[in-house]
Amino acid sequence: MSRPHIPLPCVAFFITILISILLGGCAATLPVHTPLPQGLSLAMVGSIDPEAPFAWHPDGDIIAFVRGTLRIENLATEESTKIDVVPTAIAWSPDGSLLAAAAIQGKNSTVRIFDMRGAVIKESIIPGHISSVAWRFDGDLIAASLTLERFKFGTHLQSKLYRWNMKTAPGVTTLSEVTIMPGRVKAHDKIYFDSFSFALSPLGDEIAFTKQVDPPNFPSYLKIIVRNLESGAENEAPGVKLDPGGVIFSSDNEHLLYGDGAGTIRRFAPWTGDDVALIATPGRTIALSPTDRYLFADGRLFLDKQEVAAFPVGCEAAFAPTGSKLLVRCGESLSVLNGLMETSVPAVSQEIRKQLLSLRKWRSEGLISNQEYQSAQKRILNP
Amino acid sequence: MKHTIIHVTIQVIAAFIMIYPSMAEDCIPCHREKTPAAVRQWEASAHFKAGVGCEKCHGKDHDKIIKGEARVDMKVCGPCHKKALAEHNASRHGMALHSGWGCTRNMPLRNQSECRFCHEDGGGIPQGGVQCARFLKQSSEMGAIGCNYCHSVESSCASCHTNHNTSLVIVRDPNSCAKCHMGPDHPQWEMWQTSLHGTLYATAGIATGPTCQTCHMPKGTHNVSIGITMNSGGVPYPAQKAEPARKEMLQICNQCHAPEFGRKELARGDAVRTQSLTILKEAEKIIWDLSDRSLLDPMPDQRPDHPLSGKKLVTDAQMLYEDTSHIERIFFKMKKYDYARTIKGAYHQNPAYTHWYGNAELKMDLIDIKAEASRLRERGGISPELKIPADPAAMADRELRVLSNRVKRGEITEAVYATEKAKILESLKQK
Repeated sequence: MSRPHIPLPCVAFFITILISILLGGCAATLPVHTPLPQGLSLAMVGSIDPEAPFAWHPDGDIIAFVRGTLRIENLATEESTKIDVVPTAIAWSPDGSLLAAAAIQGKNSTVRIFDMRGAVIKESIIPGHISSVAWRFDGDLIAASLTLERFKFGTHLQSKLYRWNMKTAPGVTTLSEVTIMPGRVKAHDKIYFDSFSFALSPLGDEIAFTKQVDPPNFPSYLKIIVRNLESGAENEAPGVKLDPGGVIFSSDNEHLLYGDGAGTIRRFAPWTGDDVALIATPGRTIALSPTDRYLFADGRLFLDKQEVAAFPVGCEAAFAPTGSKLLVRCGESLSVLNGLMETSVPAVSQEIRKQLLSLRKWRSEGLISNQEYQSAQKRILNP
Repeated sequence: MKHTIIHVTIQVIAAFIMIYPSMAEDCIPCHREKTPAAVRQWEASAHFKAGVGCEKCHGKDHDKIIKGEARVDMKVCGPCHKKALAEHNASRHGMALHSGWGCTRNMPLRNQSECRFCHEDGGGIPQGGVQCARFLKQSSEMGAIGCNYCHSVESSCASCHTNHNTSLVIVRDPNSCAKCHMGPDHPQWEMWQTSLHGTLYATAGIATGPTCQTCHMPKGTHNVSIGITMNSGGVPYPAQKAEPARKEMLQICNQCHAPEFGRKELARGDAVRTQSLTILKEAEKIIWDLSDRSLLDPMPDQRPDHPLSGKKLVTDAQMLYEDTSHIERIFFKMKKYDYARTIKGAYHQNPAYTHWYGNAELKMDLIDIKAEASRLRERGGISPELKIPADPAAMADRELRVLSNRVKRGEITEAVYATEKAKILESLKQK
């Protein structure tokens, strides 16, 4: 039996058609629901593991994300580095030379510090499930970890903050702990891990995190706590429902944006107590551009509080530190939205930063009033 | 006739019992051999003459007595000596054990039931305005001898009156007070003894020379706190409490002196007290300032916990003389010894105690404290003479905390606080 002969031009034609269909298919799934405003363009990066972390490098060209394993990819040169780890949280160091990645290993997490080539520089094992890592400044990494233990009398949930200078073992402080009554305990640990939110202020001196409260006579709810890391002083946002939203600091370090669990993103000033409704969207995930002009929440992109583009509701995003790009993950696809009218925020000098941190510490401790803080801050920033 | 014999017999027995009350008991035959001195003292006592035998005070349970569980405290004496007990309870002696005992709430091995010694069930504040004390740091043996031998005066009449000999000759002698009211912290006995009052007593006798009892237990009262215008730490009472007390003391002085003489003498004592307190406060302020700047060595949070106040700095009546910094140790001596000697010496009209054992030491202590403070400041990098410029942010941080603590302690007003704070914030201007 002779095999039928297919002419080479035909093969080439079919391959061309196939590629066109594939490319066309990809273009058709670019995750945007509304026409993009003039000047904005969306480019596909590729696939990404769902729910896996992704982050911009400070230079605004390089990204880190997870596709099977962790990858570092330069969007300008298309250079790519694969790193053999599947992290739950990643963060670039402020100078961009190091990438921190936390991966779950049983009841513990392993935090590894990689250089740009993917080589492991440091490694530490931290108890619990690490949900967030962030750099306070170069050489000072913080990680929020959750542990959950189930007992007959209830479920004990603890969140802890680990601070690692990469020279000694990480130091630990407790963020919150609660024993949830048996009748209210959720079946899956993931529900608790997902309900935990954590954010670090741009100055790196304050954190915000959610704390579950389980009072005997009322339904469980979440509190959002703001803690000044320099003083340890805390303030809390009004209680929110158990359907948690995202939490993020504004670029001026003065406000906290959070989803209140009741369909609204609110803006809370921790040290004055001012709390106002900002945008009517649940705010399950919130991203802010460097000067806060753009806000991305629940798949919706806002410019000065006006919606300019809509993606599927479950999409998450991260603004590039340079301001003009937005990395969007929708399901298993990762794309970049270019052409945003945003700029980067100039870094403050070390001396000014130190003074601002002192002022913020004093305010958190009640040593100076908010008014005194505001006028001193103004004098420092605009001499 | 039969009735007459019975009547006479009863009268004889009654008379015999009155004359020798212990004949009705079984104790004396044995105790005349085992504790003959106790029996002899009792036989010479007013109790014997009044027909008060062993059982009346010690009870009948011999086993309990042997185990030391039948102590004769004020609950036993009180029912017969009601006036004396009431006067005693109203005096500083009446709270001596409580003040010496101290609160045991932070002691790991405490007996839970002993809270009721000072507190009602569930009550956080002790009954009767008692003070807690530093003696919690002692071993039980040291506490028993070094503390409670004196502080047991609260509940034990025998502390002054002795056990079986109730002779007033003993308790009317100043030596009976000397057991406790002597030594470096409150040498009242020594300062009385070497004052003109004491000299007159030694040379001309009780008719001319007043004793402790003459002035502090007038007319035999058991309220030894009559006429006192300050607490045991030398802190003046508020006027509403001090003024009536002063009138009481002047009435005592006026028994021998012209009213104006007594008034002026005590007024001089008040002035010395005020001047000494000013010196003491200056030293205390230096220590708190060092603490505000975290310069004490060690700081309170680096030492074993204070039994009552934990990690806090304590310079009040509960101040410890152990587990403190060196500068606090100097302050302890200054306050507990030298301040006390100065003012108590003044009120007891003793020149040497007022001046050389008191005032001079007080002032030299202040020099030592200032010198030690300079050393600590220099070591902490905030000495004005230091040539290396300090970190301005760290300096501002420290100064703000110092100001905040000073306004909390009432050392500066809110207005001064606001002004000083503004200066510090102004210094943060960008260079």
